[in-house]
Amino acid sequence: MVEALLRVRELVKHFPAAGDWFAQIFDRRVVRAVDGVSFEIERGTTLGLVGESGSGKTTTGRVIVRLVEPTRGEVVFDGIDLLKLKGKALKAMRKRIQMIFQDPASSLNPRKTVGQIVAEPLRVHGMVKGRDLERKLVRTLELAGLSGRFLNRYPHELSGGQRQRVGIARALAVRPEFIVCDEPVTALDVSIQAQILNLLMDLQEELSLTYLFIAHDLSVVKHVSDRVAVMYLGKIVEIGDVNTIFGSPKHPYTQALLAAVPRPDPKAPPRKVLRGEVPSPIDPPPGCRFHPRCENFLGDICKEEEPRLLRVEGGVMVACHLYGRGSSSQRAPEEKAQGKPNPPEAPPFL
Amino acid sequence: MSGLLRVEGLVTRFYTEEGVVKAVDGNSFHLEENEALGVVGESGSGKTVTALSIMRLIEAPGRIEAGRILFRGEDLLTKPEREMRRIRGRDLSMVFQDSLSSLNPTLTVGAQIARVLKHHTRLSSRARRRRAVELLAAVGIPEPEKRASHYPHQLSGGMRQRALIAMAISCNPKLLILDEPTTALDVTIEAQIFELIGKLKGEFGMGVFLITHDLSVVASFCRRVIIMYAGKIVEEAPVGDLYANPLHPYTLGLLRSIPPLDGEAERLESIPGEVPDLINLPPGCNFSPRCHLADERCWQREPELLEASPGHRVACWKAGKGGKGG
Amino acid sequence: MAREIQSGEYELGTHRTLLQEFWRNFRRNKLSLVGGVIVLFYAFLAVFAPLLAPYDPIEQFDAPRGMRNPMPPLSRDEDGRLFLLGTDKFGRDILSRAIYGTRTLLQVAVGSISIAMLIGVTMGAVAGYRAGTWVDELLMRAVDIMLSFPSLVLAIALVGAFGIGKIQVGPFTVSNIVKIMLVIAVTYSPRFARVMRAVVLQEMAKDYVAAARISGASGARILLTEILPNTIPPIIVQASLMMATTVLTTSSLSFLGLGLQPPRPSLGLMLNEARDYLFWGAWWYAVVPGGLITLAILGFNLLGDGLRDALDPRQARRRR
Repeated sequence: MVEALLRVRELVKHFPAAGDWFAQIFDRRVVRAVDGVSFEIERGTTLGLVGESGSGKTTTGRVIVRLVEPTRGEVVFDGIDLLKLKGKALKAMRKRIQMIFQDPASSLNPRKTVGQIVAEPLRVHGMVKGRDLERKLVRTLELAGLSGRFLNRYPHELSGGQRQRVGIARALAVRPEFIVCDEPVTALDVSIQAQILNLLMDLQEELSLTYLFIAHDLSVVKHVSDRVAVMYLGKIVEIGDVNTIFGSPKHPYTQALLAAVPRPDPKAPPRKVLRGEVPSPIDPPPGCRFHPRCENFLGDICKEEEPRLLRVEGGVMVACHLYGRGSSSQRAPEEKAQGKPNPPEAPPFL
Repeated sequence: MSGLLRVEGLVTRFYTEEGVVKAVDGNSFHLEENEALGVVGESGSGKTVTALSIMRLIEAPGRIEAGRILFRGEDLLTKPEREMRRIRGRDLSMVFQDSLSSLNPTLTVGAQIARVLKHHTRLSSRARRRRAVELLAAVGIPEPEKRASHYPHQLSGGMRQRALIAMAISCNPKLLILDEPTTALDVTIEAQIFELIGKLKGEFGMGVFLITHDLSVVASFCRRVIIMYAGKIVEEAPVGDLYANPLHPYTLGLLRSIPPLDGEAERLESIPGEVPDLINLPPGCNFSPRCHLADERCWQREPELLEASPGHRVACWKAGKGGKGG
Repeated sequence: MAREIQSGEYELGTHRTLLQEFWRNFRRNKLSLVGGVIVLFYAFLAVFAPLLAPYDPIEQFDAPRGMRNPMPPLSRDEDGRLFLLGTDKFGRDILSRAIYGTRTLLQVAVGSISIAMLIGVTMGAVAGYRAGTWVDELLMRAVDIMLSFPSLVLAIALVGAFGIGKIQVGPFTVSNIVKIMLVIAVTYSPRFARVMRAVVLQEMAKDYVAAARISGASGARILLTEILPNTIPPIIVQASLMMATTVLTTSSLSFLGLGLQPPRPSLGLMLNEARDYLFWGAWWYAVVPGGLITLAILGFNLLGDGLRDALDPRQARRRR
């Protein structure tokens, strides 16, 4: 196995449910945004992080770039414990880890020109000065598919796709090894989405980048990822090779999610509807968090015992009682869940 | 008279300081009863302006400059505003994308539905309240009595969108316009909403005019599709035809821009360039600057929307040629 | 590897600097142009007061035989001096006094708003950047306390505490005009602090701030180079609208005898003196300073509204 560039272990982030410190005296509840998430990303690969709103995928990304301080857990990047870094060491690390944001309108300072925006990380790190700076800026913009003529433009003069390219150029300016892409194409038009996805994949190859790609759009995640992690209510329910998971999803939530996605093909089987809504992360259901909506509900075990991520065949890890805990409690998923892309195969013994 | 809605040569423009925005530029289409028509386009394609024109909700500096909008045989553009107000909400309803700003934050959901009923029916206030609860139940909101007394911010996004739909169908409209009704929602909730709309369409026999940027949503929900680009219809076809045999290079580009969920794609075929500025449209075909098939004729003369096969219209000089088509 | 690079006119569109963009938006509203012209007129009066005023504002002239001070507009004294807007009760030229009074008024207003901005913006920026901490809590509760007094009452109380006229603070003598500026600045700084804190909070939630943090920029650098430039427009709008209020407060203090002291020409003081003569038919005595104060307030308000529409379109939309 290739070395993991990033290793996240038992990451937990609880936000106070109440607004300010005063309200928190009376309301000690917490929002369990991320509740024990572990994964690894190998150098030069992309891990896709999918989930619906409230799944905790964005918070996970923001902890890794140290925008959000986690409640507990460990994030190790290239052998260095990221969460312990302070001062100069943290600043130095910031050159190696960058982020691309969802909303290109809010992620670019409206009072700065494209040149100033892309130059900022270089200035902060004192990397390039004077004449070299301009040359470097043009090179970086070209890397993101923009010409040097954009240097003096303001964000409001650009289209959505161009702004996202500026955001990408800013992330690339310090030549990072690892980039957290937080819904980078969600705000863009369909025809522009494809341009940006292609750009990100080309850049990965040219600069041997490693991505954590956060998105709610399953087809986008499938397209760019090598491995994928599916999150539900602050937990990873399934993680593994992208083609294995999309080809034969194991977790009932992954199956339901995939079946709900519309296909651009009128002959495709009708979308299957998952009932109910995502419960509140303040008071998540006990046991398996998906059990109130699950079609393969097994009984008390799902309500009482939280399933652990266990390895099943194909190297995929699944957190579901269908696949764990010896043969006695096992039951193959019923065929009642029809229209499923691929019913899970009999779980292996672990 | 044929059809529920027949739009002929609709031109809607906005007179801004920067220039004239040709938001909708001479489009014609029709919609039958109990039919779902999908209108697909990117930002600035004119799809929302088309819907607002049908509702006669275009405000200054915008103007409907030409065309006819025949709704059940009568031209809406010649009707006085007073009559339009009676038609809107009763025969002709619209659901907007942003459910939070479409609902009044100071009124309970039940009260807002009752208000629509008061405007259009002679029901007593108690009957209106009862009907509001029935409607909330009909759109699949659990505990409708309780939810009726909730304020919009107390509901989730999916619930709010359901409440908006309940309001839109409260007077059994003949035509329901949906403007990106699920863009802000998660896929699983989106699937729920479309299941609901499909069910309601069958029950009430209404026509549905679905505006979206998502070709996939249309494929599973609509019978016919219109593709718009920069204010013009570039292609119109029954869904089966459109996906199996797209004739316009833009349609083909859009389809190829979607990463496939089933099967592999090494690299997406993206459409180069940007959506044009509606004030400074290129001469000739609007799509020509981004089209890999374009030649002299495309740059100079605008193609007409012509029938290529029964029910399948396309506005392209190169239609069916060059591109592999599918 | 070949990448398609966007560069043509087609992709770029027309280029405008932020200033050009502002002017385009500002020009749209004709009333704000009127406000701008009024404010320019006052600035002109203030700057060129010594050249514009026909006489020394303190010099007293005797009324010709058969007349008494105050003399009505267009009167002449025995030497043939023309008093365009008449004289006051001491025989001083009202036009000259009005011009110099305007100058002083604007000096106090601009001075106090500048100081108020400096104090308020600093407080607001710190509170906003440290939102949710005890620093924020301390600053904002202080602001709440100050804002719970009507501003004129607070100003009067402060003047009362310090005393009228120039004061001695340790080894320093603070002139009366500087003292008034400081009093008004203290009174109004909480409003700037509130606006500033709100804007800083709003900007901090945006991803460009997150991007700067990820780039490794320090807190001070983010506050100064990223957030601060974005707070300038709402602060300018606030300052312009507050100018109107400050003009009124300054004049009110003078009117009550707590502000600028005679013989220094002051519009508020003139208004006070004119009170006694209103019923004797000396309308010019009150109308000239009163009109100048009113017009100034109108001008700054119109300009402020226009600036808000041009600089902060979001807020403008919310108002409508």
